[in-house]
Amino acid sequence: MNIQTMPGIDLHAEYVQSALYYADADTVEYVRKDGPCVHRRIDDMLTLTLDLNTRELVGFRVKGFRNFFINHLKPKYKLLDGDFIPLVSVLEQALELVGNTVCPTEDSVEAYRKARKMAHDDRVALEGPLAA
Amino acid sequence: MAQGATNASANRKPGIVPVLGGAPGDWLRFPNLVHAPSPFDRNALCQLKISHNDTRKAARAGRRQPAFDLWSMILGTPPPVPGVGARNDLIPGALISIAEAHACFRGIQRPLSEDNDGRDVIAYILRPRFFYEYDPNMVSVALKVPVPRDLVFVVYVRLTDGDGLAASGPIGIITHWGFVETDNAAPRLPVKYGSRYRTRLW
Repeated sequence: MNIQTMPGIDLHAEYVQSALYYADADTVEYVRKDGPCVHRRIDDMLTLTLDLNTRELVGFRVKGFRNFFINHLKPKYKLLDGDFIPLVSVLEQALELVGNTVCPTEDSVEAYRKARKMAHDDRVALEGPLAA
Repeated sequence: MAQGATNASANRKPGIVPVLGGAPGDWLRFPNLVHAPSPFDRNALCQLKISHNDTRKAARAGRRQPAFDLWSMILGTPPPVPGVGARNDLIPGALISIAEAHACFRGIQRPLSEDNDGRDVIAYILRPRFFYEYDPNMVSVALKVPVPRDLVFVVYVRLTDGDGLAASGPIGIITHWGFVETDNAAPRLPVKYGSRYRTRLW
């Protein structure tokens, strides 16, 4: 795509909250604002995103998403290409999957609860997850 | 300091990123390659490719900070946006680039695409003192700010030449990056670095 005509090139355009799948990082990310963040690893699937200065929760990442989507989410929810998937469902499945291999700590369950609440409150959904 | 980046199309001294003028879209025109210490030999330099896809995807959604992080902590140069010099030139504080990473780990203990446990992913650890954040005002959208001292910056690279044996060309692709909290016992390293990564390379 020509950068001159690319959406987002306007440095003053408003950030629109949305969940995005980043293919190179193989991660789904949702953040409430565009600013510097700290990433706090919870386990191999979930990372919480905190505001750099206040350390307030501003988002989360679901990692290793490609394999997770193909092998767990897509069959369970009978998703078709291009379907939306609520991140609440993604987080519930992720916690279930993590719980099948290790016993989640109280802190990690609390982290999933916080991320799920944010996904629920903000009605976050991912469109056509593996689309470029 | 602006060390580390290369662009095959530019006729300039290798390893130096020019400070661009801030024309529309310049902030999304990243170099294709950057120099970094080799994961396999800290005293040798290697070339890494920079993935543009995810950063541009974020930008399309109106999220600029990942691009500003790339410019100011991986390439070691201010993001080329209008007014960046006018707003920040008098603020003291040098930037660093990936060339100044002080630690390097291999294996991120989680799947990354076809890599089931991320064993071919390298994590470079940097401790920058300053970076640029997206903070729009009348002069510029980029502001140089200090990095809190309880954070390190981690740059993840997916190896394409897993043994580093290739004589030339990039050995991996920089896929993502971000700040993480430091370990209480080793404040120059990421928290829980022992379980977070598979092996420390240097």
